[in-house]
Amino acid sequence: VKKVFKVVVIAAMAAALVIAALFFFKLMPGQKPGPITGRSPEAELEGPRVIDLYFADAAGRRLALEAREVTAQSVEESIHQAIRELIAGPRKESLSSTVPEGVGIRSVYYRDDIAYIDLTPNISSSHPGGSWAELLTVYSIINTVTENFSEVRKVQILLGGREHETLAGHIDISRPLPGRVQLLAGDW
Amino acid sequence: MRRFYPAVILLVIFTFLTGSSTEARTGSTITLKNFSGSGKHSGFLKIDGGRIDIDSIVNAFSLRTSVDIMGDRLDLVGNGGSCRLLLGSSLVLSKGLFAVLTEPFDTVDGKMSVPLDFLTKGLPAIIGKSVAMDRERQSLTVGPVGSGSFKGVNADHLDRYASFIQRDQFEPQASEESSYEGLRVVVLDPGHGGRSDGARGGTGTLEKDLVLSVSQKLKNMLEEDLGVKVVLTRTADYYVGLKERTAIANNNRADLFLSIHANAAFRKTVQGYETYYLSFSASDLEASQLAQIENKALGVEGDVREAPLLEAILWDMAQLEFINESGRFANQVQETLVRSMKGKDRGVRQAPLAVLMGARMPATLVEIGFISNPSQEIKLNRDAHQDRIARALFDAISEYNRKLIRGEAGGRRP
Repeated sequence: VKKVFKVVVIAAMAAALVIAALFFFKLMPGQKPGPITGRSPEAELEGPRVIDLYFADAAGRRLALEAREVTAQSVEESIHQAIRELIAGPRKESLSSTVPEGVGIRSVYYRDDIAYIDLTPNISSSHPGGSWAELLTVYSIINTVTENFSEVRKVQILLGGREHETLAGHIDISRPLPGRVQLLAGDW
Repeated sequence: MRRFYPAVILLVIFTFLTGSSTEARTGSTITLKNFSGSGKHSGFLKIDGGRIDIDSIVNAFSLRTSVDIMGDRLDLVGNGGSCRLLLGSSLVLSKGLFAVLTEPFDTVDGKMSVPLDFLTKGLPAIIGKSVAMDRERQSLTVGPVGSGSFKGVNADHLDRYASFIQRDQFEPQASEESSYEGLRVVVLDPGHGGRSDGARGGTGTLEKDLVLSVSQKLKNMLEEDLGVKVVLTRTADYYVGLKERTAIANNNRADLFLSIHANAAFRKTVQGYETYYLSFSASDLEASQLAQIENKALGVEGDVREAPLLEAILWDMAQLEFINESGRFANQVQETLVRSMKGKDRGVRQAPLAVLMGARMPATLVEIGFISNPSQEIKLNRDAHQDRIARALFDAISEYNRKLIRGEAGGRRP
């Protein structure tokens, strides 16, 4: 009985070794060291990826998705690309822009779960106004970041490098905000 | 509504649940017995480790509950009002006040529970009666609102009580609540102003001018036909900060706050009416938890009336207590406006509107039409059209006022 037990234990140990070795060899070759950008080392990405941009529907009632491919290496660069595409507007006729033309991105950075999107202050003067239009603008930006980049928990929108109470007098953007996917259904 | 309560006498008996395990976890129940009516058993409060099961409070006092989508906010509603608990937070929010419990509202072993001092700090607001625990006399007193100060007892000692003997401290408190005659002060907030133009129509109509005009018309109607005091947050074309606007309403002890805006959209074809009230989200919950930490650091306890600093931190949460009433008022405004103007109903919506955040009264924001729509812009510029909008808003406010007086709405009951 003792002998049988010994054999079983040795067999189990051998099996464990084989499995560990399999994992080791299978996984190691795939883990290429990412390019060093020096900005956010823990946030490297591999190759192109498809993301969903959050535009508005034609009636301006709710947010609606349109896919894009981004190819940047870091999370910050990808977010930058995504916001640039968002500002450029939708390709589908049935969708509507949420960010006024002529708005520029001053910078995008990412610290401690929070993405900071620093836009040119002309977004305030060129925004059409209206509570819901402003809500869609704010959350098209926030959702585009939080729903595509799981590293980002909240987004702080900055205008001209500074925090502002609102974009155009209605919706609170004074602090970092989480996404609201419910807006896809037109609900807050 | 709820002018008088028959003296409901609650006999509260303490019995130890089990004799099985010895120390530490002293599980017990408070049995509530109703002697005023049939005398039938009306429930019990389960106590475990100094905490009470929410379910047993709900059953014992026949409360209604609602939980938000995120599952982190619980509203308890009774005949006397309501209070709000936030998961993981020690704050009890009610009637614009924030009481602080000895421990947070939380889920223990899958059951929602609160510390014992909830009975004195939260329950009175819900059942509309004072609830006092008296250690010396070993009594739990249930009486009318305002009959005593609600001092909590140290939860650690409560399990020692062999029994609670009911006392009825019914002292009729006629004056304040029953003399509620509806709206006294209404604050109207014409949106934007000064350097903030707001939306701009295709032919150059500015939102700030339009909403000021409608607000002034509405002010005259309210003062002349309804006899209420009306304060405008701005009376000409100058800039007023968003927080300042709410502060004007708070300082004037307004019973109602209505922010008047004109709408705009990216597409010119969009038209219709929208009315808003404030939304709260999970991030607000975090804000309240932050406030709680600050509170602990300051060593502040009990009623927030005694803690101006905490009150300042919780500015963002001030509207929370009036949110149901704000929703009711928003519905009234939207319904009346759409009906009177025969316009497109884009619905009552909730949004994180900065101008509504600090308001300590029912507060809504109405969008009186899209000036980004060319044909609507022309209409909105006409004096007669502005009169009609002002009249529709007047009708909404006076109907809301009628409901207040009839007791169908809660209003701002401090």
